[in-house]
Formats: sequence, C-alpha cells, structure tokens
Amino acid sequence: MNQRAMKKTSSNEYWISLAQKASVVSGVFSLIVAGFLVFNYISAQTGLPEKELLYSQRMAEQKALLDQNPKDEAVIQEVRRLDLQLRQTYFYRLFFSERGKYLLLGGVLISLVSLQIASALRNPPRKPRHPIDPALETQMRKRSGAAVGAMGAILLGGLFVLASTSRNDLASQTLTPPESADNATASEPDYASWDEIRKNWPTFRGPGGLGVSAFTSVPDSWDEASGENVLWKTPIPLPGHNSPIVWGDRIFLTGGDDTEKVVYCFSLETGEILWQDRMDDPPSTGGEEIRVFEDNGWATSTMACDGHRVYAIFANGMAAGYDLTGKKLWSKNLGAPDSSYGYASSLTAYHDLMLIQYDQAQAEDQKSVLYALQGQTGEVAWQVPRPVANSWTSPIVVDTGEGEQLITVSEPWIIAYNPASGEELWKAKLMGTDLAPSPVYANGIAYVIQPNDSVFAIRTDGKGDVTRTHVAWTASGFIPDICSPLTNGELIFLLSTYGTMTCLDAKTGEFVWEEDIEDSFMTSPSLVGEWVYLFSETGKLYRVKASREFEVTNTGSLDDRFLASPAFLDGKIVVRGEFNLYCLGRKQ
Amino acid sequence: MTEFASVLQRVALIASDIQRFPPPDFESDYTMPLPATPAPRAPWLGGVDVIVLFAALSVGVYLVHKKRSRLSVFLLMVFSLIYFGFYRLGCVCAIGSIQNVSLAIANPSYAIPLTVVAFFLLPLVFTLFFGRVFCAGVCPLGAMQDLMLIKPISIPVWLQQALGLLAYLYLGAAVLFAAMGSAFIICEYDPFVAFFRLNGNPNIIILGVSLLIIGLFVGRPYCRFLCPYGVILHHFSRLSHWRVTITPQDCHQCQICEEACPFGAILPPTGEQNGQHWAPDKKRLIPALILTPILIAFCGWVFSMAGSSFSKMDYTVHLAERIVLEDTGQADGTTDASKAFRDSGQPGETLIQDAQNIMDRYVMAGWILGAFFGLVLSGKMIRLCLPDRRDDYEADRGDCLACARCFSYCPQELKRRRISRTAPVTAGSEAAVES
Repeated sequence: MNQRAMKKTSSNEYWISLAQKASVVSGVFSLIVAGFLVFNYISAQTGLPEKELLYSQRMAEQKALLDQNPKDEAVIQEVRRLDLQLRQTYFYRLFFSERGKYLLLGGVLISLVSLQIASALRNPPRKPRHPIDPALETQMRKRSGAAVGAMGAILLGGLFVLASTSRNDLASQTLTPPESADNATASEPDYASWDEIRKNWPTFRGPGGLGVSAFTSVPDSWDEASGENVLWKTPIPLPGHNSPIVWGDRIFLTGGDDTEKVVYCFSLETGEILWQDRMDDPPSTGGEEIRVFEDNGWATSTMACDGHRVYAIFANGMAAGYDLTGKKLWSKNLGAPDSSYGYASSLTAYHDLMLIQYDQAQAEDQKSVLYALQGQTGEVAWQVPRPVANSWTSPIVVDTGEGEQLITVSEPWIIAYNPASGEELWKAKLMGTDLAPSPVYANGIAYVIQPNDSVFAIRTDGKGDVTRTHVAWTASGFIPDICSPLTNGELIFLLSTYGTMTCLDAKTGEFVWEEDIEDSFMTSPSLVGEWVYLFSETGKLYRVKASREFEVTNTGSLDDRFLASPAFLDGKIVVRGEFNLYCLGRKQ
Repeated sequence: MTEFASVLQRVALIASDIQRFPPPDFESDYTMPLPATPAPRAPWLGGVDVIVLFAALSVGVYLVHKKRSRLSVFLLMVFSLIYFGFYRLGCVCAIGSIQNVSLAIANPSYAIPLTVVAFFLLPLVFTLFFGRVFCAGVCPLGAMQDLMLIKPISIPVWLQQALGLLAYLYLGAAVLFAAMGSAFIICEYDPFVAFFRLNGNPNIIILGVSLLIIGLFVGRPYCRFLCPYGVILHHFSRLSHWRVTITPQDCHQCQICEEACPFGAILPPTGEQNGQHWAPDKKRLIPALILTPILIAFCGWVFSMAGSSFSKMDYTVHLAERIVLEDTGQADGTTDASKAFRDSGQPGETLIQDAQNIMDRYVMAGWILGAFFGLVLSGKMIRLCLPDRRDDYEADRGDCLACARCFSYCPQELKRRRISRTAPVTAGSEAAVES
C-alpha cells in the first residue's frame, strides 16, 4: 500500500469515526427527546401535573364564588387570570410536543444518515470464494418450491379458518323483519279483529274509511249554548285538520305548527288529555326547508289504529308508532315530502301494518311510494313505488269478498293493492290533478271522484289495467272538490264545499236528486242508519235522509269551525273543531 | 370561546397525542378523530408534485444508469424522503394510486384525479425502460427503510420466495376492496405514513416501528415482501429495456456484489452440470402444470368462502351487521353510525338488502381473487422448475431495486471508473485497485 492509499485510509477512518460519533450523539439526543415526549404524553393522559391541578382547584373555587357573586369584579379577574394560566400551560405542552417531534425526527435522521455514511465508508466484508455448484441451484429451487407451496397452504388455511369461524349476522336475515318474541308465542294475532274494528273508529272515516257508522244510537241533536247532548268539550292545544280516531276509551289526534308536532290521547269519558308526545323535527339534511300550504297545516293526516297500536304522521315526514298507553315504539323520518300544498293523506292500518300513501312531486319524478311499516318496530314490511304525482287523498282497505284490497287514488292512476304484500291488483288511468276526495266502496264497486268534474264507478274484480274494461259508469255535474263521497250501497251522495248535495244511483250512476244546503262544508258526510250526517264548517249539523227523496233537518249547533270528519261510536260522536274537541251524547 | 375552541381543534388535529384540555370549560368525552388524509391542496400544486416526480425519476435514471453512483442515489433518496414523505405527508403516492385506478376502472362514475393517474403511470413507464429506479431513489417508503438498514443479514432464497407471495395477496386484496368501493387498505394500513405525518393510529405506528426494526437487519422488508406496487414494478422491470448491470465489464465472479446486495437480488451463475447448463426439473414441472387449473379452482373456492368475511370491510355491510346485532339484542347501545342511520329514518330492510347484495358480490370477487392467487402460486412453482442460465453474477431483473450498492463494491466497476479502494476486498486482493 503506498502513501496515497495510506493517506486515503487514514482519511476514511477519520470520517468513519466522525460519523459514528455523530450517530451516537444524535442517537442519545433522540432518546432523551423521546423520553421527554413519552413523559409529556403519559402525564397528559394520566393526570394533571400538580401545577395545573392546583390551578384547576383554585379555578373551581373561584367559579363557585362567582356563582354566588356574579358581579364580584375581583373574582372575575381572578378567574380570568387562572384561565389564562391554564391555557398558557396547555399550549406550552402542545408547543413542547410539536417541537419535540421535530427534534426527535431530526435526531433520528442524523443518527441514521451517520450510520449509513459510516457503513458506506467501511470496506465490504471479505468473502472467501466458494465454488459455483449447480447442485446448490437445484437444491435452492426445490427448497423454494416447497416453501412457496407451504406459504400458499398457510395462507389458504388461514383464509379457510377465517371463513369457517367468521360470523355472518346478515345471512339469516330475511327481508321481512322477524316477529317479536311476544308475537311469536302469542296465540292471538297482534292486531284487532274486524269485529273489534267495527265497534271503534280506527281510521279516517271509520272502519274501512267508508264513513259508515256501526251504531245508530248516536245523538241526532245537540246545542252547545244549552249544553244539550254535549258531554264535554276540551281545548286542543295545537291546530290540525286531522280527524279524531277512537279505540276503546281513548281518542287520538295530532296537532302541530311550525315549531311543535304533538300526538294527543284524550279520554273518551272525560275529555282530559291522558298522554301526549312531542315528535322531534327530522334532522336537517341541508336540503330545502319543508313548506306547507297555510290551509293544509302540519297535522292534516289522520292517525290510524290497529287495536294494539296507534300511528301518526306529520307533514314534515316524521312518522311514529305508540302503544295505546303512550309508549313510543318507534319513530322514523320518511324524508321531506315533496307536496304542492303539504302532505295530507291519512294513514290506514291493515293487521299490524301501518300503510302510508306517500305520494310526492310529479309522476315522472318517481318519488311516490306506498309504505307498509311493521307496527311493532316501524321497519318496512314492504314498499312499492307508485307511478303517480302528489295527491291529498287517503287510501281505504276494503273486503271485496274475493280478497282484501287497498284502494288508492292519485294522478293519474287509481291503483288497488293487496294490503298484505303490496302486490298491484288492478289500476285505472282516469284521474287529473289536485285530488283530495278519498274513494269509497260498496258491492264490488269503488267510487272515485275527480274534483269538480266526474265520479267514476270501477268494478274491483279486474286485473292489470282496467281503464277500458271495468269502469261501470261515469257521471258529471255538481261534483265535490274536497269532501269524500258516501254510499249506502244503493245510493251515492256527493257534497260540495258550497253546499250542493247530489244523489246518484250507485249501480247505474243515474241522477236521483240534487239540492242546495245553504252552508259550507269541509267535512265528509257520514252514514248513521238511514241518515246522512253533515257537519258544516259553521258548526251546524244537517241530517239528510239517505233515500231517493231529499229530506233534511238541522238539529245541532256548536260554537266552533269544523274541518275534520267526526267519529261515530256507541251512543257518542267525537268531533274536532278548530279549537276544541267535542264529545256529543245523551247525558245519563 | 368559539374561536378558541376552533384553534384548539386545529392544534389538536396536528398534535393529537394530547387531546385533553384542562378543565373547567373544554372537557368532554369527545375524542378528536385523527386526520385520515392531508388537507386538500391547490390543484396546481398537484402539477408541481407530478413535475417533481418526473424530475426525480429522470435524475434517478441518470444516477443509476449513467453516473452509477451509490452516494448520488442515496442523496436522491433523502430528497424524496423529505419531499414526498415529510413535505407531501406521503400522499399522493404511487403505491396507493393502485386503488384509485382500480376504483376508476370498476366504477366509471369515480373521477380519478390526473395527478393520481400520473403517479400511477410514471413509475411504471420509467420501470419499463430503466428498471426500478422509482424504488431506488424516489419512493419515500423505500427511502425510509433504506435509511434504517444498518446491519443487513441475508435471507435464504427459499424464504424470500415464500414471503414474496404476501405482496401478491396484498395487491389482490387492495384491488378487490378498492374496486368494490369498500376500502383503500393500502392507505389505511400504510405502516410509514404515520411517521411522515407525525401522527397516526397507534396500531399502525406499532406496525411501522416493527417493520423499521426488522429493517435494521433485513433490507426493505415492506418493499420486498408486502408492497403491492412492487409486484407490478417487478414484472415491468423484468421487461425493462435498459437493465441494471453490476458492471458493463467482464465479471470476475468475485461474489462481492452478491454479498453487498442487502436485498438478495444478485443471482449467482448457474454453472454446468455434466457439461450442460441446468435443465428443467421435469419431475416437478409436469405435476405443477397439471395441478395449475386445480389449484386455481381450489384457491377460488377458498377465497369465495371468505368472501362474506371480506365484505365486512364494506361500510354498508358493517353498518347492517351492527343494526342487526342491536335489533336482536346482541349488542348494547348504539354506535355513531347506527344512531345516525336510525335517525335518518331509512328502512333497515333496504340496508340489509344492500348489504346482502354487497356480500354476494364479494363472494363472486372472492372467486376472482382466489383464481388470481392460485395463478400466482402455480406460476411461482412452475417458474422454479424452469431452466435459467447465467454465466456471471447478475442483478435479478425483477427484484433488483437499482440501489447502486453493488456498483460501489464491484472491483471491475471500480476499475472501470478509476476509483480506488484502499483495502483488499477479497482474499485474493485482485480488486485492490489504485487509480
């Protein structure tokens, strides 16, 4: 080795030594910084340093003093001073943590780079020659093949174990929610029988939504001024156009405004509020604000009851289910309804299903849906999209003798479904815009109103599109705009808001009579025995004979404005005014 | 008060190791979420990143192929670590871009950023022509591991071959989860990004520290045995036009390069047996060929069985399972996600239906992933049965990371470049060259 090489070696050794020292120093420095950071972290996680704790205790004391003397300037100043100290301590620790990280990073980097330099400057290790042996190559390949195979087997085995032991909680889930344990073990169905339904008033316009009372024992006259046949009168806290429903000794209705939506339960005996529940507004999704037409309001949809539970929905799309004692079983947000005037369709119930005709926007928007929610849980039992625009009609559930049908009316389709499954049974494309009157049914015929235009009688034994095949008859004339029709099977009665009442033959559609009642009407007519009960907007009762001869009497008067349809019970009528809830009946 | 809380929140996002503020007013049970990705940047800065990547790759090509200097490659590596790692916080990165590309192919509605496309394609194109220069000096993950390599030990070839399967599996899984729109697992489980961001999930930090500790002795363990992008680069590099050579001059078979390479990427000459070069091992080759379709089908079946387990990575499936557990009383309380879902009023049946559909898709995807894995497994077995001829020590075209270490130790190379080593490097001292 010549002098030049020796000089070079000496130089290398110098740099190697320097790099090693730098590495050691930076390594030790990094360890110290790391130690401080760990201490800082642990102290921050496990408890306050004494100083902070002291300040915190003092702070607590000062705050207690401040509560006692809110205007004590000295205490205020002390709180501020302590608070400032606390923050300074806190941010000092953050500062320490932040800077410490970079110091640690820098130290580690220097240490590593120094080690790399030292390593690079060192000579590579000497290696004795070994002969090139093809047998080694063969051996290596065999071993490698075996190792690859073993690794593959290990990985596959691991996956197999994973697949075998992994729980799949969804695999056993069916698309219809399982019945509750109570329901599964009970011998009785978890809903009321038809006989029980007939004795109550569980939906808009009563059993089946037909507006027909099962009882004739209801009063036929009353007078609020004298108190005649007015059992009680209770103010309703919040406005709403929905009609009262009744099950057993309880009356259910809703009220709401821009700020509150409440479900009420009144005692049928006394009129007192037994329970009420305020429904929260749906969480904001950043979408447009829900707006409703002033005349529609937030609580226009009538509740429904299946005998074991009651259901409610508001114009903001919030729906809920309760047991009869007021225990909320579930609530859910169906989404902001896209409705021109505000959502107003009433609910109905079939067995333990809550049925919601959720019609929205225009048909081409494909927003309309018919929901069947499980009464016990609110889960969707089934849902079907509807090719219709927004409407304000309410669905009815009827027994045609060949099966039960859920009949809905919207623009442009009248559609009947199987209420158990949502299967579409028949449909007819007959309807125009702005639909409010709900359908009625009798003797295999559904009667549907196109406001201010026509009434259609459609046989319900069809399948598919029955527009050209099952329209029994069509009539026009003084067709109502808001009030739903009424039929006793022989005749059909139509009532316009301005008081014109029309009677047609239910089988043929032939004109029978038409008379003017000089009053205004928003409530739908109801049939009690052989009398049609009409509650005018001005609070008067008109009884019209359900016959081919027109006969009317005016035998009742209440001091309120009436927009909701009454409920008829054994010996009682429950009617909702704009401000009060009335129970009419013969006093004992 | 609000402003102060905002400042506190920002600071906490940066330094989340201290998320507690002293009482009285700012304590709550809320745990500040860790940032998953760096804050968005101006679009033109993305362009700058692409330019820097292109420049770094170009410089890497020059340093590896022309200058052939380990020190220069080392410096480029440090630059890349600082820029792509600590400055750019490890995002965007070429490795993770696999997922964006997979998702874009599977879901045309996903608008993949051009920057990401560039980060995916540029290293591939450079590799196709110049070998793995990206791994050599541009990848920050590789750079971090390279810096940690202090005392390299050699890994047996059979172990390298076996561990190499993991990277294929990781690649397949990453593509699967990304294409299904469920997760970007490369990013979620990136073991080093927490160091770049000085912040991260403790479990991932432990994983990263473990890999770095292993990396003190085993050269670039993540790059060699886990990196999914490395799998692609491996195959592109095998096709590379200008391969990395230990020395352009005649090899003296001194074996120093093999010793110097910490990545086991220098292959020895195959030699001759009975006067012939190594021949295919027909006893193993023929069964391997016959078993290939069976292996592919079997792997497909096993992976398809695990499909429903894979699907738990999907948010919808995860949420649906939680809802079911809550509804059936198997889980107490609610999570933030399940509560939000319930508050939304969306029907649970629809969620379960969606989740079941996703699980069905995962079963099908399991078949594809399994078939891919079976093909890889079979391909490796067959490859190990096929003949290979090397007359001299050569850098493996696929595995060589172009780190330039071997250049610095090859006596022939040193002689060519008129660089002297001051001590003999072999027992014969024939490589002690003086300039």
